[in-house]
Amino acid sequence: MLTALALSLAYAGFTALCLAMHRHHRQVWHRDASRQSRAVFRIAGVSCLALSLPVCVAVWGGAIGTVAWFGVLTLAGSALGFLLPYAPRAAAALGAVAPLILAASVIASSV
Amino acid sequence: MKGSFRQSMAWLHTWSGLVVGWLLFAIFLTGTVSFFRHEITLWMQPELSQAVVPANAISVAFDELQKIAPKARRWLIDVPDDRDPIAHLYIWRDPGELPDFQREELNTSTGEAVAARSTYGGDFLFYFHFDLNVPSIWGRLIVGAAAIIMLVAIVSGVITHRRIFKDFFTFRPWKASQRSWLDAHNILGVMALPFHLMITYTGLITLMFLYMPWGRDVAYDGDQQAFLSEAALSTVIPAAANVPDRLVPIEPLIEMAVDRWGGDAVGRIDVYRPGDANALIELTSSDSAAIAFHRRKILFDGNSGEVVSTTDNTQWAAETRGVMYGLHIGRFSDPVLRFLYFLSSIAGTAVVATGLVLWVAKRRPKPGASGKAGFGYRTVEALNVGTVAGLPIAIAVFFLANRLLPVDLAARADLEAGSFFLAWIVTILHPMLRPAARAWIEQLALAALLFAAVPVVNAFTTSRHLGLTLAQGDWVLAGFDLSMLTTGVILAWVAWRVGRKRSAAPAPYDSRANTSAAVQTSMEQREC
Amino acid sequence: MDGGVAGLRAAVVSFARVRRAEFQKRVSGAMKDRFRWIGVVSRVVAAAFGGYVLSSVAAISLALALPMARSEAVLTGSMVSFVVYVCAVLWVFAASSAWRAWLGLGIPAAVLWANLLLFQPAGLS
Repeated sequence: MLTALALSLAYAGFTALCLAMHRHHRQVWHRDASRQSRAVFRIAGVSCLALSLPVCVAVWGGAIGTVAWFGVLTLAGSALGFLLPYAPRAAAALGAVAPLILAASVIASSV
Repeated sequence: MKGSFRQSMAWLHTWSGLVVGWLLFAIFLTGTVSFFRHEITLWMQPELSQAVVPANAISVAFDELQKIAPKARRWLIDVPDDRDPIAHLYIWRDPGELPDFQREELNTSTGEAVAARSTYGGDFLFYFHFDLNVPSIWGRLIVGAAAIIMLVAIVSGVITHRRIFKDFFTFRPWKASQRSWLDAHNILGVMALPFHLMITYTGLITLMFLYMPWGRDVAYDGDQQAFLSEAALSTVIPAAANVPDRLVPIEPLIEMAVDRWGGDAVGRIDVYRPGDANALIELTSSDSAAIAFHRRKILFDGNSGEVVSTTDNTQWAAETRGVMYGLHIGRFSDPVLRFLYFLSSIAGTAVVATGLVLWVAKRRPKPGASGKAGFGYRTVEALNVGTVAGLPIAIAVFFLANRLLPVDLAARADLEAGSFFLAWIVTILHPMLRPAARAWIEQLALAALLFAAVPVVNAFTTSRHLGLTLAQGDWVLAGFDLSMLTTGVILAWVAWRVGRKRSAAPAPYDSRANTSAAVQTSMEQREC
Repeated sequence: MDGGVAGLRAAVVSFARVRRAEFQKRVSGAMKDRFRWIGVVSRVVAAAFGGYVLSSVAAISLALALPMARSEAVLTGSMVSFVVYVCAVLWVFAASSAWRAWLGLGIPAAVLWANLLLFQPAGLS
């Protein structure tokens, strides 16, 4: 469950960073990104990517968790890269929805 | 060299990539499957399937060693675990006593030597990965040279990739074939870049003292053993006292070690001079416990059980090397992490493959201009097919041979290996006799068929077929069969796509010539 | 008469000049190709062997000079040497001429080697 959360956070982070680029913003919304939304996307993207690291450490421990983090980033980034040309809106929506659902279920199961 | 720094790096990337491309593909692909070499070995010896590791496994191993070699120079026990349920026993005797080296695979739940079909198992592909089945050290030297060139290719590739951040998520499969292959090559390379750099560099580190022994040789004046002792990489075997003495029971020592290591299991046991008064017992922690390879050791007096010394690797450089070794081998990884390693490694293999395909695509001759393609071009294209599609065929044939060769045939291990090489030779010769596009489709389709056939042949030749193994939760065998099926499906899809693209084009080179000309004039082309 | 001879001479001279220029261009084009191939081969040799020599000398130098335990220095030097090798190869192909490529490897290697001979005579075999 935590592993899935780490993956979804990494995916969300990459999605946000991706949508901060005009080229990919246009793929989803058919217009360029505004200055503000670019800033928001970038901050959100970096934060989600950074958050996925402590989640990885929680799953695997310190050293191995860091190694695992790179693997998680690779999987998340590749998934987004290959999904984007075929289903840009679904790819973006997944980035928004997945971490929320998984975070909620992690919190629910630990309560 | 010519023009700017970036242009020379682009030149270097293209040519270094081509020179070692096929070799690197073979190394990368066999390396990728080697992450599962124990699982492959288990599948290739289905008689051992579902072997359990009892709690007293180590005692059983000790009893066996006492029986077959009560007095020896050294015993080594590779302690069985959940991935490799067999205890591997190694015995060295003093010169003059025969056999001076002996090896036994022990099934600790039965206490008997393993009775399964003779095979090299996953170890065949693992060894091929770093020595190419070439005798002596030459194979390792060739692989090492390829690894350095791979590092050069990665770094020069990153330097050449001007828009590495802008194109971070760019994949445009709808574009002209060269552009989309380049996109795929770039995205697979960049997304797993930390892995590619790490795995190549750490690969060199694992054989560091073969490739770069000069520092050690000069600093230690050639005394390798002194270096190994100081770096706590090996223990000096004591001389025999020639006074017989009993070994202390092993269980309390194991308990003490596990306790000291905070719960990490014992992975390996060395006994020096068993049965002698100078006996030493060395326990090494399991590889799966932490990243660093052979991380912690405790040396006991073999007759009294007292601790002689401990190694917790507080030496920085030695620990770093251990970590690098461990990162490459990846034994520390649990199934999820192992899968992530596997995916990144597949990405690396695909980077090499797409690079080779790109090289050919960029130089495809336009129709009308100087007629037929040159010898060099056709050779590269043939080798591309024979390696990128041919090597997977060879691997599938290797697995099929394991099931199809008679179980009690004496030389079956070598015959399995031979069928791998024979299949590969055929797949390299085939595209020299067929037009390239047809050759690709035929080999990809054959590969798909062979991989899909593996679980089917398994069902017909053993009792451990997929229906049974899934029901019993035997994930090693079931997982293997499912992976073979999945690989077959993916290859079939690729073969279909390649076939469709070919039949959609009006003439083999026409549409590609138009588009490649258009691409060539675009700014993007200068990138590679 | 003089004008005619002078005119003829001028014609011959200018004809010769044109032919010589064409000949030079053709020859230098072919020579450039050959020089280019020699340059590439030279660089490949420099990268493969020169790079190995430089990284080996670097490994030895670090093993002897680093202020840490002997086995630690050996390990560090050896691990770093592969990075040196990769950098050496990149340098060789980035240098603006094959001569510079060789010098860029040779000079550091010579300096390190001289340093070893002069200050660390104990270790060298």
